[in-house]
This record gives sequence, structure tokens and C-alpha cells, in this order.
Amino acid sequence: MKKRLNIQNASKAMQDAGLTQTAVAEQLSVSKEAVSQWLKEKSFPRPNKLLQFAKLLQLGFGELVINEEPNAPVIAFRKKAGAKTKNHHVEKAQETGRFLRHLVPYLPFDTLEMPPILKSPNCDYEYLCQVASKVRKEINLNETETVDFTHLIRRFSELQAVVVPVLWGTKNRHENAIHIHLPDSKTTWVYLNLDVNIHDFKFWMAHELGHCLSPSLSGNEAEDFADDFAGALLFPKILAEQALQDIKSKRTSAAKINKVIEIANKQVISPITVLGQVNKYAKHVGLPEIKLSNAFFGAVTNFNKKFDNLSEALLGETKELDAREFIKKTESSFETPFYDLLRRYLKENNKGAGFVQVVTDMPLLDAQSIHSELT
Amino acid sequence: MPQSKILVDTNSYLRLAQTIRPLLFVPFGDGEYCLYILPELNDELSNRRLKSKFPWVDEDEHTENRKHFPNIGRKQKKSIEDNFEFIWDYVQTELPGPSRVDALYIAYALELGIPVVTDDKDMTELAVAFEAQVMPTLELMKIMHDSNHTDLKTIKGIVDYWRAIGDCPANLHRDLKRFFPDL
Repeated sequence: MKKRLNIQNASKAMQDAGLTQTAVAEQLSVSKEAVSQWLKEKSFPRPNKLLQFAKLLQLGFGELVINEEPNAPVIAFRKKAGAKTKNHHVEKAQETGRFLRHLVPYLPFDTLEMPPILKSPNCDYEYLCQVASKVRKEINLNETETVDFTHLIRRFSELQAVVVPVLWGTKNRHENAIHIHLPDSKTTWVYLNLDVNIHDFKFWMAHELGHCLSPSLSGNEAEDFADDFAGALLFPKILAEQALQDIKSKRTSAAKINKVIEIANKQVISPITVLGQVNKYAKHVGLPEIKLSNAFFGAVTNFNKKFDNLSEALLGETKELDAREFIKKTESSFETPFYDLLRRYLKENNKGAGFVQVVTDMPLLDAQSIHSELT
Repeated sequence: MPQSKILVDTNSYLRLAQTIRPLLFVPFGDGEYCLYILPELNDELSNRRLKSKFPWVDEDEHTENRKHFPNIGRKQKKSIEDNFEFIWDYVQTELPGPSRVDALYIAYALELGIPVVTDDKDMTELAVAFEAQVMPTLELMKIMHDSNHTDLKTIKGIVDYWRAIGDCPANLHRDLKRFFPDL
């Protein structure tokens, strides 16, 4: 990030306040030459003098300083239902991205070669089927086998993406997964909240994998592709075709709902993914879509209740879990180098728990426990 | 005599509050020193998910004691927010390490003209870069000792406990020599 003074704003504020360069210099206890250099953009004030200068001119940071960041971290969220993304969500994730830059030198990836990515990702149905089929082959699954999140993990490493497993709780949060791409190092960091049900988690992982395969996309286009890719991967065309027939063969709405739930149970995915993929297939081949009554949403809620959150399934009762066990279990389950990178960076640079808190966004006491374990 | 407020950062709070009770909002010494935290610290201490070395922070006695904060007016609030923008930008561009709440502590300390107690190397460096007053936990303990707010036996017990749980301030050896050469 390159910083420079907003000379126009600074000069105007000085003029409005009747301040000469000499007066500024006296007020800030610096030389007149120093002030002159600042205003000619030949030097930039030290942090204390910059703040004092701003106070003197009554300018805020954004009015006095121009921040240029050509390689700003690129952010994509997997939002919680109903959450709206605001500027502060993006800014906070970018702040995390700036801290992550310091971990890049410790990455174990090949820095000479680009990972394999899609040439022209798009949401065409047949194209998505081809991509899903290719990825299934790469993770050694046939077209009908159930995708487990462990199948997806290795693909993240191969795509040089770092998985960051975190405990963000179940409430009061805008997102359950964040994808941070650092353009300068061409590295990708995928934050996954473990405090979610297994079906959502699996979908988000597949969604994030979609992002990793399509770094050329951004904004809504990227989100739409990642969503469509996740659906196609978890419930491919051949399964959707069969499911459409099975569901249609049921006469009552309740029986149709039960069938969707049964299929979801078998594939260990959300019933919403099943229905979504079935209807995409139906639309693609020109058949009527399946319409279910509102009772479907109640059935989905009951379905979800039967399953523990991933954190409980993977880690047990986390209040009893110490940082060592958390790191050990997540490192082995997700094959992630994240905590090792963090360990090496913290030790070599003598950094405190504040750094851990910013790069994990976990509660302070958890960040402290992790810091204490890593150092 | 007006209070001499002192802000204690998270680490310093965790190192002292279990033993010196109540730690906060109790004036002591001729200087009417009084320790404060920021309201944001309470958000920080809540919602932990892992087993912690500091489970006592959830006890009523401590949560009650953490309900007192420095009073600030509207103008001061705005000024603190402005300070924070500069400080947090500096953290992101020049000095990675401190958290947002750490940066907020420095923003408060600057506006209120009061010292902040921290043992964190980066937070100390950040305070120095912005000319905020800063001191290590052992210097605060020296002030408490000189004000008869605590005694050497308690201080020794605290330092031994830090060693036992592996949570020592960065410059423990140096600061002990400087502030408590007899310990």
C-alpha cells in the first residue's frame, strides 16, 4: 500500500485556517523544511506528526491521506442467510488479507508454477456438468458416489489454497466462509467456520473450491459460478435425472418431500441442494420443475436438527478442548499448513496474540490460547 | 484531587485481575490512580470456544468490576475515532501485530492523555510511534507498591504464577531488575 498526502485538501485547510508552513512547523515541532517536503510530496510525515497535522488542519484520515493499493485483497463471502454485505465487512476481510501477506513467504507451495484453473468459467448447465465430472475424477469419485469434505481437501492444496478452519460460533455473524485472494502473491486463503452443520459446510467447501477454480471471476458472477459449481459437484446430472423421476412418481406433496429428504440423507447433502439441482436439470431438458408445499422448509429444519455441527462432530465438546488439540485435529483433518505458517511467523518475528486474533478473527481468549500454544 | 486514570490492556488485565481484587475502578495512592479497561475488552473476553487459562474472567465478581469505563464526551469520542483511523492504518501498513482493540487503547490514551499498560512489544512500539504514554505491567505494580496498594509478597506471588502458567511479560527479566531488584 502506498500512502501520500492529499496536497489539495491539506493546502486548502492550511489556507482556510490561515496557517503558513512556518506556523505548521512551529505547532508540530518540526522544521519548516520538513513541512515543505511533505507538501511537495518528497517525504511523508512520521505517524505522530501525521496525526498532529490532521488535528491541526481538522481533517480526517480519509481527507488527508490517499491510500493507493493496486493489489488490494479480493474478497468473496459465503454469507449467512439474510445477511447483507456492507463496506465494513469487506474492509475487515481486507485487513485480514493485509496481515496474511506476512505469512506468504512461509507457504510450502511451488511459487514458480500457476495452479490449474478453468479457462473460461461460466454457468452454462452442460459446461458445469463437464467441470463437475472432471473434478470428481480428480478426487477419485465416480458420478454417483457421495462427496465427503475430506475428498475436497486435497484439491485445495493442489490449487495452492490455504484452508483456515476457525470457530466463529453459530450466531451474530455476517458470513460463514470467506475467500481472500492476494493478487500480489497469487495466493488464496479460504476461511471455513466449523460451527455449522455438515451439509452447509460441505456445500461451502464445494463453493469455495469453485472460487479457487475461477479466480478470473469477481462479484456476483463469481458467486453464481461457485454456487452452481457446488450444486453440480455434490449432486450431478445423473443423480438429478434419476431423482426427478423418483420424486415425480410420488403422488402427494408429503411423499415428494419425504423422497427429497431420503435422497438428501443418502448423499449427506442438504435437501435444498437436491431440489435445486433436480429443478435445474428439469429446466435444462424442458420438463416442469418440482414444486413443493411450504411443509418442505419445516422438513429441512427437522432434517438439519438430526446432525451435529461439524465442530462437535470433529472436535467434540470444544469448551473442554485446548488449543493444542484444536490445532492438531484441524491440521490433520484439513491438511492445512495454516497453523504451521503462523507458528513460524510468530516465532521468527516475536509477534503477540493480537496478530493471531486478526488473522483468525476468533475471540481474544481463543487467540491467546492458540498464540500460547504456537509459541 | 482529580483521578489519574490508567488504561490496562487485555494482557495486563489478565495478568493482574485474578490476584489484585478488585483491580479496576479503585482509586489508590496520593496520586488517586485508578485503573480502567475499555468496553470493547468485554466483547473480546466473551464467546470463547476453547479451554482458557483464564476461566475466572467469567465469574460475577470480575464481570461486575469490568462494568466501569472512562467517561468520554461526544467530542472526545469523535477524536478517538479519528485517532484510531490513523493508528489502525499504521498497523496495517507498517506494524502488523496489534489487534483493533489494541489500536483503540492507544487512540484512547492519546485523547485522554493517560498511560496505557501493556507488555506487548508491538503495542508498545505503536504507542511510542504515536507518542502515547506506555508502561509495562511491572511498572504499574511498582506504582501500586509505592502507593501501598499491594505488597512485595503479592507481587512475588503474581510473578511466580505467570512463570507457572507460561504467561510471562516479554521483558520480565529486565523489568524485574529495573522495578523490583530485590525479587
